[in-house]
Amino acid sequence: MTDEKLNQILKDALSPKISEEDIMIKRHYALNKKKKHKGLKIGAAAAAAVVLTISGIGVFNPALAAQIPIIGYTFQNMQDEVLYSGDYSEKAVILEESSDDTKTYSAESEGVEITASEVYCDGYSIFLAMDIKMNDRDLTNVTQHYIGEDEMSYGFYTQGVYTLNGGDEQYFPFNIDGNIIGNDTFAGMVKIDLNDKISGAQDLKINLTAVGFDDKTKLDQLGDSIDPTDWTEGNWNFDIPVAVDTSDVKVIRIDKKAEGSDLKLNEVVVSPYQVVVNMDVPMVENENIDEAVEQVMKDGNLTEEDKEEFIEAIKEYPMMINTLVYTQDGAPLQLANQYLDYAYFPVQNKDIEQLKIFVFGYDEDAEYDMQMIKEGINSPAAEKAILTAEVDVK
Amino acid sequence: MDDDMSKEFERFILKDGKDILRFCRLKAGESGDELYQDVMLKLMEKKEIIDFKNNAKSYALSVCIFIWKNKKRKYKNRMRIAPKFSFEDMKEQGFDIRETSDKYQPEKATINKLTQMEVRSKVSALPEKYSTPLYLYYSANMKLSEIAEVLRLPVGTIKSRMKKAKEILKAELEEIENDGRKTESNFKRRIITQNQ
Repeated sequence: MTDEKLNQILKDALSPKISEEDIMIKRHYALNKKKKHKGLKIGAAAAAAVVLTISGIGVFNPALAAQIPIIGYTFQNMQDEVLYSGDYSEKAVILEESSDDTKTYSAESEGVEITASEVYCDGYSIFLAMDIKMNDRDLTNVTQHYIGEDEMSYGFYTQGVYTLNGGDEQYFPFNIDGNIIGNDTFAGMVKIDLNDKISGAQDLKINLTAVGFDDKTKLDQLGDSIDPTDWTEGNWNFDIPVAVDTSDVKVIRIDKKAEGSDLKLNEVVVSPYQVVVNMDVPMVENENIDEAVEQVMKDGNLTEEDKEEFIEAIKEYPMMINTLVYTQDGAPLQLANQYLDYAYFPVQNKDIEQLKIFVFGYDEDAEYDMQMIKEGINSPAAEKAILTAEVDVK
Repeated sequence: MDDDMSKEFERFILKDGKDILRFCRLKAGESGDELYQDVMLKLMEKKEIIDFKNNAKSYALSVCIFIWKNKKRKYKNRMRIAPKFSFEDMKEQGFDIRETSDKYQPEKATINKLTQMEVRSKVSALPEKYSTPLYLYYSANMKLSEIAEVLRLPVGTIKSRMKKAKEILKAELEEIENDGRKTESNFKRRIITQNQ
């Protein structure tokens, strides 16, 4: 095949005809967008108001802003500002490169220097402190986002993958909470939930391909998008040794099944910074298969020969549940992430002696879980939980 | 003043809209029209600060690439939290679900002839760093220097990526052509045998 022929083939295939009508902006589409945008504007305005209020009452610490990031102190710069807050100084291992070290803790690409500074692993999650230094960028406009009631944290976004001990590639967490240090550095904490228990020494390899943030001055114009100038694509690779530290990690076996269901509470893990609830979540039958198939067939998106494969893929899904956890004093722990069989809750410096666990099934007519969140641990809705447990931790 | 801007924006759509929509459709498949509308609405919001006589097409395509990546990123992130199944999900997972009523579907495949669909699917299977410059060049009618501007990369990098992309495609398309010839000659041989 000659180059000219290839050129012609590509020209023919990649430049299909477009009609005049197709390029016009569609009114219904614009109206829908506008509706969505209105909500976002209110959200952005509310967030901006909170940022101003916090600065106004002096919670913003100018001394902190003047701090220069030093390897080994990243956690210290942001550990009170993140969802999984706590004192990491005793647990986190400082990552310091030496001349005979084959590991990589720091990488620079497209004017952005990222340094992995400290790491801690309780066997269920990896807590990694990272500094993102953007040369010639002023990060004072990075947006804060809510991480819980009345709590806000500065946020960065990342795109990339990681592997653990050469296993399958997993997506690197998209959101990082943290703090802005000086004008050009973000000190953030990455929490990688492993969705499985690990032990011993681990080799964590990370490949980041982009980092970015929301600029609070552009929120109204951009809605939920990020300005291209605030999104940097590059290539940052890290090779980090992770040693699982199980000291101060308590694993309490429960082995309790819900009545009339295969849902089972296996164990509760209390580590210095998080509570992990591990369950067997059963698969349930999809009752809307016919409807789904009819819809995609009607849209012309599914051929008869692929129908069986499609049905097989959608015939069941994990049972929908919501897990609420309270301490001995009835203080709720905030559900940060529920993924398949694992639910993760930040400890946030609470002294935990006992945990009370309530698992709710999904009921579209009665949201007992929401009622309990609103009314607290003594809510009558607690009786509607499909599985409960009281766990002594001390 | 506002009227002038609206007219400039309209002229811009009529002049460059087709290239941008073509790029969106090839880049984002069946979400292409939605992507195009997103891009145009974004430009409309910013029409006061955009110079539609110069450079607006490059800007629009940068916005387009950005929005598309953002959508994909959000989708991946959402899937990790709440996996669900839909037609799009099935396609993402590699199921071969054909778009039988798609108005952009090319001509029916003929034996031993490369179809446009085959070429497009080969291009879309390339890593993004190779496929995006091809789309910008062939679908959006951009010059190499303009592509470099849109992707914020040196022209030399764009050239080498296009060269690499063409090398991969050439090898794969030649393979399809050869398979096609083999199939055709087998087909002819069978007909001859039957006639005898």
